[in-house]
Amino acid sequence: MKISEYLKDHNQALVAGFAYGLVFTIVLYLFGLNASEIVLIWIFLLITISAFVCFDYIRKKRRFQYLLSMMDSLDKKYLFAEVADKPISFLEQTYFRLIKTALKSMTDEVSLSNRMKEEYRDYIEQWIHEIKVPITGIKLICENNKTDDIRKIITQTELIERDVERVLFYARLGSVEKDYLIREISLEECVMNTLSQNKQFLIQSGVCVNTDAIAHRVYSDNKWIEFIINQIITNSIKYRSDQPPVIDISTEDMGRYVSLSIRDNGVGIQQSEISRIFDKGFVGSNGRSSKNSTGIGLYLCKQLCNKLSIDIEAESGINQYTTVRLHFPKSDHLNI
Amino acid sequence: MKRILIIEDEELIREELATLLSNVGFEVKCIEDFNNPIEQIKDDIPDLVLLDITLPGSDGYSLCSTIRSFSQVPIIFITGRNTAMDELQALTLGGDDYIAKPYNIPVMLARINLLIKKGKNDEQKDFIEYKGIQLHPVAGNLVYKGYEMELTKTELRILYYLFTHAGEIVSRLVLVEYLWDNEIHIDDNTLSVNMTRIRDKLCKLGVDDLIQTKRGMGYKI
Repeated sequence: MKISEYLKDHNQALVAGFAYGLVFTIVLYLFGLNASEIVLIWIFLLITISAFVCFDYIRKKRRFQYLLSMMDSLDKKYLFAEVADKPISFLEQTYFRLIKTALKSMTDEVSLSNRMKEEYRDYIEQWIHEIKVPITGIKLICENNKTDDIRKIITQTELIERDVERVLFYARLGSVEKDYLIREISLEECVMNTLSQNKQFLIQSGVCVNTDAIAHRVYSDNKWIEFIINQIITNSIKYRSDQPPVIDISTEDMGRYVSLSIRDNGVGIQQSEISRIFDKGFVGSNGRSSKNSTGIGLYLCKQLCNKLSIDIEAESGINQYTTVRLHFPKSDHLNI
Repeated sequence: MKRILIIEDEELIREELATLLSNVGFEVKCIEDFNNPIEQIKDDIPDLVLLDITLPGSDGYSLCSTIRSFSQVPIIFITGRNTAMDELQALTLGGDDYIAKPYNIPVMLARINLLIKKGKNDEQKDFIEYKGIQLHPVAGNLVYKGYEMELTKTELRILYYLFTHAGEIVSRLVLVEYLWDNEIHIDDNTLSVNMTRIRDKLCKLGVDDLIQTKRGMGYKI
């Protein structure tokens, strides 16, 4: 607050003061006081007013500086009115009360929207568990009556299953902490489970998967890892080139971490886009040119990897290959 | 024959599961009346129990701990719930395994077989013989008139399936599916390459025309 701003704020009081002084001067002049006495009174008046103005300006400026610095230091700024010490004037008290009322109505609004979000998520999770019953039914019926047409139904069911799974993992993204079980898992088993989950879809796509070089065990949650591998393999098939699709999956011990790489011979990703493929909603030129891409799959993978402290990276050559690598950290204390 | 008990309230799933399991050679019993499942289990203790978690009356967890109080029969939870907490609870209450819906059918069968075979002797023979040709799955070779021929993993699996289905026409798709179920993930072309190699190897052993190709249908021995 500058002094000019302060004066502007209080100009009415100052004008009133001077007008009052003027009226008094006229009255005293009529009573017969001489000029030097009136000048003396004016000097006295000016000194008093300036002293008061200076004192009040400094006091208010300090107060404002204190409030501003407190606002700066606050992490949750909306708690301002609760945290500030007692209001120093009636006016400030009124303002604080206004801030608090606004805060309260805002908190109500936020908690309502949070509750609705929570309910929605619970509903989605419950719905997914319900939809799994008929999906299981379809799969079992198909398994018991296999024909070429039924195989096509199985393929479609596998696609449904994968999309449903994706919704579930998206809904749970906010609360991953509550839902993982870290233990020693075999990467081979994870890969094998993922492949057999999509068996018909993969066979119909005519893909060859080389899995001979998968050996290592890591500490992680198999459910989440299988989901991630599933998304990556699906992308490999989705963005296949004209050649028959081949996917090589292998693991390697890199000293500080174990690396799982999934390499395909698909259309590849442009160099300019590769850094953005894990962004939410990113649909590259591949996605735009053909398939129904949503830009969610790899984003989910990246988020899950972050939560599980796994590094995920991609490397690609246009029309040659795409390799996605997952780096599982090895923790020293686990080896003791 | 091994006996499996299915405790699942969803009728369609129960019946299809029963069909599936009896197709692969198990004797299957289902609980249809959930008023007193424990008595029904006690009457006739099976070799393995498939147990759903959400059931009418008492849930799968409490059923599991009750079963554990009188029997060590292997229990596999089959359920739609798949949070880590559910899994943890299932395993701490004495369940042996946990399979989430929708079942991954080959994986489910593999786990059932694993649990049922634990501690039992495998009655599998050392080799299968057809027209004087012996296939040794463990050693991974073919023996004919005293001559041996090494086989790769894929070739071995293909021959094993053909030998165990002698006289039947086996379609290429069925063969590919069988290989995928046995962790060999190849496509149709690679299957052709392997068939050619198998024929070459049989030729070298002095066996011609063992495997016939039925155009548009598949293979037959």
